Amino acid sequence: MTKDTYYVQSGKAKVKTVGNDKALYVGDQQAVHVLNQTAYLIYEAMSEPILFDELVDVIKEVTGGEEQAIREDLEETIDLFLRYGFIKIAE
Amino acid sequence: MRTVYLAFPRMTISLTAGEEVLEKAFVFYPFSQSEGKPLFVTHAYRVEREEQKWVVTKDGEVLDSRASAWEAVFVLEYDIELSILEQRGDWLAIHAGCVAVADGACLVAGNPDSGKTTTTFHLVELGWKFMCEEIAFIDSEKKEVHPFLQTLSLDKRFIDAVKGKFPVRRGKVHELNPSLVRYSPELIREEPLRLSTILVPKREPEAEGEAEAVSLSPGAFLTEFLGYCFEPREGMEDLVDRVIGVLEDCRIYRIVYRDISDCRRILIRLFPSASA
Repeated sequence: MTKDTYYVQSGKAKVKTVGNDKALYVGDQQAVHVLNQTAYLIYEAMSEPILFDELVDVIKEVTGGEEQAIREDLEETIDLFLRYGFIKIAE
Repeated sequence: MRTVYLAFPRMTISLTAGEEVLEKAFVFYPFSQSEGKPLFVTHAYRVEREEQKWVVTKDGEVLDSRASAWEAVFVLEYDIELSILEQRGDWLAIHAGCVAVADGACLVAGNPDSGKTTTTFHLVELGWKFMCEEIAFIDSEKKEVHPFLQTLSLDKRFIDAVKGKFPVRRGKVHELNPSLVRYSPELIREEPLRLSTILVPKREPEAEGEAEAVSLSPGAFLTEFLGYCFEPREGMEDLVDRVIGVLEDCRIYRIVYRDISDCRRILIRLFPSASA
């Protein structure tokens, strides 16, 4: 991960609405993952290629959280999203 | 040898066997006997004694042979479950018990040894009508549970512990061997019923404080519930979509309890009227 890395949705995950929550279904893994509101916000923000710092700004604006904590959580979330195949690094 | 017919969800079988086997099979399926010969039989089972073995056949093929009539009936039971699962079509099949409570069907879902059969037993003993044990079938379009009526398989130590605290008055207990009993509920529901509630029992003998029912959102429960579903017929995404549809319309509770009295207390709190 570098500060110039762009992240974007992989196109492999389908969004499902479950009550008030959102879940992502990944067909090639036959797996479903339920996202909390912040995780879904991050996923939504990746509908177009976006930089890590831009994502931090989006989350800060919506949640009003502390920047360092947001950065740490975001790193972890991006790592999971890449592993689950929700997103990819934009070329 | 005599032939009887047993009706199950989407399947009718014939069973040809001697009285010793039939008597034992009726301990497992007291509610399933079909009046007269049905128009169509899905599978024909036979259990015959050959020298020292009891041989179980299905549609002319040998399934297994066992040393006792009880063991042969266990083979039969296992294969009947597999056959019903094959015949279920587009219904969801869930590892769950089910009873009819005041406002609809209440599933009791969970992994083996989580307390689903004992919780189902308590609900029946509290006066609610029995619908399913081990496997529950759900028509996800109508959101209805279809009864699969077989007797509840319980540890004898559990029944003994219950009898030490409460009378067992809503069903009969058949002792199969020194460690295993079958409980046959008196009140049953034979018609499908719309799903209203899902309970997920969790026995925690070391838990502190009062037993509690924790409400779960469909999203919080989705992946866990998928784990209680039998392998999907139409692919995983179809299963996910059907399960989401089912979960969205019902109340879901994880009930955490320490012991028998605790479990009863919490069930009475959740479903007060039948226990009065």
